[in-house]
Amino acid sequence: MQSCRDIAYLIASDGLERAGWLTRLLVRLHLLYCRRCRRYAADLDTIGRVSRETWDIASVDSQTVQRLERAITDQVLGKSGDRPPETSGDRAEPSDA
Amino acid sequence: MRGGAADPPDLAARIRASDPKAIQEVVHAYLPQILRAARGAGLDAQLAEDVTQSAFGTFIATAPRFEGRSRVRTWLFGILYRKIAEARRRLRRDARMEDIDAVFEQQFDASGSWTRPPRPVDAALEASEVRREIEGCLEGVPTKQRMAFVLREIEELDTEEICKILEVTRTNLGVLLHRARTRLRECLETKGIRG
Repeated sequence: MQSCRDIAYLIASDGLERAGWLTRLLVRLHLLYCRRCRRYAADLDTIGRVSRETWDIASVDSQTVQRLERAITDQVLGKSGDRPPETSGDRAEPSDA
Repeated sequence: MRGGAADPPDLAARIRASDPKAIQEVVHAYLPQILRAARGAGLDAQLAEDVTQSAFGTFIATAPRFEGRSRVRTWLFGILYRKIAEARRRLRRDARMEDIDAVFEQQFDASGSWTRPPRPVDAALEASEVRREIEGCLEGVPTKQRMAFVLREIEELDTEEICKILEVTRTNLGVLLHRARTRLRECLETKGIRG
């Protein structure tokens, strides 16, 4: 029988990924009847989801990406002395901004 | 080249040859991810840009040594992780914190049952100000734990790739993730972030 502590550790360490089928089954059963562990698992899911949303929205500014891409590309061109063909992709070619 | 897809078969050879077009393709494909991970690792906007540019600088400089044994993305994130660790060491961001393992254990009695049951965080975490609280809570988390959290939760990389990037075993990665999540959860609870 696994304790709540064991279940919480398995969940927080992504231990279920490498656990055998019996452990996964026991954890699933435990979560069915243990409201506290269910809540703990839901908390970690929420923290992960909110973190993903936070950094997806806040941290990648397309103008910054374009400016940096231009700077790094110039570094490459500086080394090679030859301008490569434009990169195809789903973003616009970087501007000088 | 993006996401979970494998690198094109000739990419490693082109990178090794410092083919400008190949390097430009890599920069174009991964720059947003690398910049986001730098921000997620707790660097401010300017420092995240500097570290990103420096990481790609190292990538370009070491391109002739790329053997293609790992994916380009894995290699890039490995470079980024070392740059972030250096930057955070300079800033002394890795504050000494309480023993988070002891904090985790204190939630359970001798039989392993909850003594301090978790309370739900769902409702409150929707608010944007609470997102800032998460950033604040991640601030003092040691670099390796924080990078493990960022690579897993934000970049959604698989275990094998994260282990290569951070140069840890699967077991060690589990410990890092457990500690990062426990710190974050405890910090939010301390700040009274509850539903």
